[in-house]
Order: sequence, then structure tokens, then C-alpha cells
Amino acid sequence: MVAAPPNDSVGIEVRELSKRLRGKEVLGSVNLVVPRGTVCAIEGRNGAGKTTLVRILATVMSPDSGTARINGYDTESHGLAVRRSIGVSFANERSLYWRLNAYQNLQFFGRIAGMPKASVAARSTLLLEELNLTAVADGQVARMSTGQRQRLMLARALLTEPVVTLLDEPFRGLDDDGIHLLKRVIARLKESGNTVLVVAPMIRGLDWVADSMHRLEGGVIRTIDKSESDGSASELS
Amino acid sequence: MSGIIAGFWGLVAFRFVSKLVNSGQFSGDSTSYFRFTVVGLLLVSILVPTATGASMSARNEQVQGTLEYLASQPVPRLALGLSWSAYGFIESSVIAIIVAVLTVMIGFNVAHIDIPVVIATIFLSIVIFSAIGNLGAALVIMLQQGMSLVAGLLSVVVIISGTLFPISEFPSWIQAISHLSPLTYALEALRSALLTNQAPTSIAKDLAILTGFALMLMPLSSFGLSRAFRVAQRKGSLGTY
Repeated sequence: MVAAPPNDSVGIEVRELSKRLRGKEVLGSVNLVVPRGTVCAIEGRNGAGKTTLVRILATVMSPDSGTARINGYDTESHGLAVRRSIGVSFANERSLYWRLNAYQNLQFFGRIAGMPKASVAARSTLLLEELNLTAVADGQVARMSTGQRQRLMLARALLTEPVVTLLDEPFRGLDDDGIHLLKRVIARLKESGNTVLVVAPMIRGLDWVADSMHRLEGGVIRTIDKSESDGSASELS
Repeated sequence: MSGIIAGFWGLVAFRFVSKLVNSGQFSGDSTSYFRFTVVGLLLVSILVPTATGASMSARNEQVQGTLEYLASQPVPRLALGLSWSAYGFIESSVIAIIVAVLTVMIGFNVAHIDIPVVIATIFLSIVIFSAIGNLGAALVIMLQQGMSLVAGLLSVVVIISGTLFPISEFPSWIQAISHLSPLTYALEALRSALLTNQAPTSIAKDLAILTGFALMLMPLSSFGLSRAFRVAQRKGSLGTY
């Protein structure tokens, strides 16, 4: 989808990133490097700044200081190039058009992303099938369950075949089958060379697929030793 | 359908009002005031939704919760603003064309049609009102309000620009203000192209002024929209309403 990126080895790079919202420090001095083709998982309590980080990477929020780059493109100065590289799923099911059905939502977003009609149709069918949404694809989003909407948001994020995928709380509302499905998708993305960032309150069930695991706390990120998650894998299994 | 009925019904009312108007430039012909208002109302019925459509769509996206996701899509933000204007424009144009056809049935006829002038006037007006709409959308994105300001401003512009009355009927200070409105020149050019045999220099002057408005407002609205997204990004308000 994107012309030759300026940096081949780094998918996501965040340097000294800070952000205050309504007078409160949300991100202090965040540093993060995610090599291309790897999966990075970040956990943090509610309000820790996970969504703020994803929003900055998705170019819908500006940092107060520091830099964020996707595939070498700065999120502030090369917003459009960043948006062409990413697929994002925000933790907001209202970001879907509830009066449209699943298929129409994908059609709409695929078309505004500049995909040819036939490609959107083929890709939508494939993703709806992979995410087990074919049976409900013709029904209004308003009538879907939270888990189904969550999977539809994932399908939408993957529609343009992005090289970097940002997933904000992708496990929210998913049942066990949905969680397994999502993990399979993340593993598939990794196999295909995609860079994946997952942020969630709990990431411990991702240790088998994540290349790096971190905790966002007090506005800063610290790396978690994978062994820290041993014994807690059941939380997302 | 309701838009077509409302538009047609409004013009039917003016068909009868025109029978009462028999003074000034409308004396001697009971249909001349009707023709005057038809041109005004049809143009306004396209331009106002084009302008308000952008701020309404931006507000709808905000309230629905889809604005933030749209802003994360690989599309220039200006294109989003233009697509919001386009929706209002397309819908209102279809309605206006149907109403125009129906209006012929109740006595609307034109003296002559200068097609190039009509096309140029409508095109320039749409560009201008799309730009105004994008400035309105910028307000909504930045402040999460501003729709009523846009609607209020447009209703004033519609009246003072001579949609329903010739501006010569207004007090001189309103006439002075009306010359700041692009709609004044659009209406003058369109009426000249459809209803009167005005000198080409007069039409050319109106079109030149409209071109000036378009050239000024297009970059201004582009800057305004881009600035609004920047401000909202800094405030972190794209996902809130």
C-alpha cells in the first residue's frame, strides 16, 4: 500500500513522548521501539495512557513533546503517509456506522481508503469469513453483540492490508472462541511480516506470540520479562 | 420526498404572492416577481444545504463517534470536508431540479437562457458555499459547536443578498452589507442569464467577483479545516462530543 518507507527495520518508534490531557500527565516520557514484523504487547491499568499512545500513533492526537514514527514516517509531519501504513482498531465500537451492516461498513471504509470496489468486496468477504462474521454480515451493526462489533472493527483495521496494525483493547467483549480467533489473526499477521501493537489491561495470554511485552504505568513504559506472565496465561487463554 | 414537497409548496405560495406585488421593477407583469423569487429560492435551496451540510455532517460524525476513526483513514482531511459538502450539494441539487421542473407547470418561464453563464455562476457558487461549509465544519471540529452560528449567518446572508426582494428595496446600510455577500453577485448573474437581457460587462463583473470570492475562500477553508484538525488533535477531542 505504501511507497518505500524511509526506515526498513523499525515498525514503530517512540522517543520521549509526552502528553497532558485536561491538566493531567497521561504520558510522561515514553520510549518504545518495535522492530518490523514483530508483535509488541503493552498492558496498563485504566487511564494509564494506552489509548492515548495508540491515538498518537494513529495521528488523531498530537503529542506535547517527543516523536512517534511508523515505518520511519513521523506522525506529525507525515500524517497521511502514516495513515496509509496503518490499520487501527480503537476501543470504541461507536466508530462503526451502526445503521449500516457489517459488509456496508467495510465497503465504506475500503472505498474512502481508495481501494477498488472489487478488491474491497473480495477482501471483505475473506475477513468476514476469517473472523466468523459471515452469518451476521447482512444485519445492522446496531443488532450485533459487543464481541461481534469488536471482530468487525478488527476486520476493518485489516481491510487495507496495512503493514502496521494498532489494536486498542481488542479482547474487550470477546468470548473464548473470539479470543482464540483474535490470537490466530495476530499470529497470522506476524507470519506475514506485519508489525502489530496490542494494548490492553491484560496481555498475559499473548506471551506465546508477542516478541516484546511492556507495562505502561505512571506515564512511562517498562519492559516485562516474559517469565513475569507465567502462571497468568489463563487470563487471556 | 419531503424536501421536494416543501420546496414546491413554498414556490406555489410565491406564485400567489406575486399577484399582489405590482410596484417598482415588478409593475406591469404579475409573473415577474414570481420569476424573480423562483431563481432566488432555487439557487439558495442548493447553496444553503451545500454549506450547512459540511458542519452538520461533521457534527453527526462527532456525535456518532465515527469522526476520530475517519480522521485515522488514509485520506487528506480536506477531502473529508469536501465529501461532507458534496452530500448536501448532491441531495439538494436533485431536489432543486425536480422542483424547477414542477415550477414550470405553475407558470415559471425564462426570457432566455445563457447556458455558459448559468453553469459558471452555479459552479462558482458551489465552490464558494462548499468553502463556507468547510469553515463551518472547522468550527464544529474545533469547538464541538458552531452549527447554529453557521445556520444563523446563512439565513441573514440569504435575506440581505436579494433572494426574495431586490436589494434596492433595502436601506442603504443593508445594501452596503449585501455587497459583501457572494450570494448577491450569484443571484444577479443568474437572474441576468435567465430573466433579463443585461449587458455582458455587468455579468462579467459579477462572475469576476465570484471568482475572487472562490479564490479567497478555497485556501482559507482548506487552512481552516486543517487547523481545526490540528487543534482537535492537540486537545485530544476528535473522539469526544
